[in-house]
Amino acid sequence: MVRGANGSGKTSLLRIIAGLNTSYSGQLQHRYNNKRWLNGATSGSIGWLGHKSGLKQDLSATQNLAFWSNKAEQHPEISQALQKVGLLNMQQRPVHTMSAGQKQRLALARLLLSNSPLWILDEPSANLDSDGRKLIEALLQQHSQQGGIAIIASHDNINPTAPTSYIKLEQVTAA
Amino acid sequence: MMSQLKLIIFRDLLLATRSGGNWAQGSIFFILFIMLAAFALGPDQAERGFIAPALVWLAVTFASQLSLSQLFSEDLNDGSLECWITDNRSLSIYVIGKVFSHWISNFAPILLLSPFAAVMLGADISSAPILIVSLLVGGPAMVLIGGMASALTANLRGAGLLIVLISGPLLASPLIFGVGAVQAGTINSVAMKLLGAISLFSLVLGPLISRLALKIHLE
Repeated sequence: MVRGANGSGKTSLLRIIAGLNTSYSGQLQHRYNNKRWLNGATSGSIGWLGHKSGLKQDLSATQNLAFWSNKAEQHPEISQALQKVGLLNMQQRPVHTMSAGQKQRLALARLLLSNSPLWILDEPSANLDSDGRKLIEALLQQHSQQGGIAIIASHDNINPTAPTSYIKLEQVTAA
Repeated sequence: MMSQLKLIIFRDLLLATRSGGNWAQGSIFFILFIMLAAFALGPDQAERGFIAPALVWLAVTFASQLSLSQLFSEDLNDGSLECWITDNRSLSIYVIGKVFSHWISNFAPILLLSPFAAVMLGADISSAPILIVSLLVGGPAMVLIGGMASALTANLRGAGLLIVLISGPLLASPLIFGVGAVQAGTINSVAMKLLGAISLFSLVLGPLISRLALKIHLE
């Protein structure tokens, strides 16, 4: 769990780890899934949930998930993911008709279908109510039980039940 | 790789059907351009027939650059591009898929209209097949060059004019050889081969530059 004040670099850190930002100084080294990554050169897929959802507003919930999971719209895994995030009754609704919280839940369903052991989540509870935050905690617990890990930047009070390390980023100001 | 290509092409074609007719912008511009050109040229059939291929190629060149401003910018703004990369999918395949789906939804209708436009401008009906072949051979260059300009300006608002300014000079060579290929009247002409070479060159360079531009926009 990465914490820190606004502007302390939480999002930048997550983007560097995800390999989205390569123009940084210093070195990133980590060992993951027995594959060594250096300087953000990733060798596997990442379950990424940033500030932008990656969802197409003109497509339905299932069409979006079918695209990202490379599965047919009727695939049971898509229905299961929608059920887990509480959107089973909104399968055919275009995303632009959903509320901000429902869109965030749909983005979480996309994450579930990614099947990636590493999740990188930037403010995953944005736009979610207290039930939504509990949903994130439940999903994180399930992910952890399946052997996955997650790196999360959040201001909200998300309390994962899985073993958690906390990192606090301090804002550095020029003298 | 092929499944990624199919995914992006089918999704973009599906989105094109829901874009409120954005895909038809180029075709409508093309029809208007040809109609006005026909009025401007007057009734002299012989004179019109001579310059018809050049006018059709010019109209296709301009029409192919319309509605390119959203080719990559939407995916950049809604986070799709980030998700594509973190999903460990190929950015080159993504660019090729996007450009190909744009070719199908925006360029192919113009291609189908072009023989009628040529005849409307006074060209002989027998020149229609060679015109279609020349546009089929040169079309990839036009769309790939436009796609490259679209990728370079993906993070800018209202980049339509900038796209034309970037791609305009680069489109001169396919335009010259495209018109030359139609006027030569044969598929085996030097102009047609050079047109094909430009398309192949664009196929190598276009996705490469687009890919680099998109990566820079994500930083």
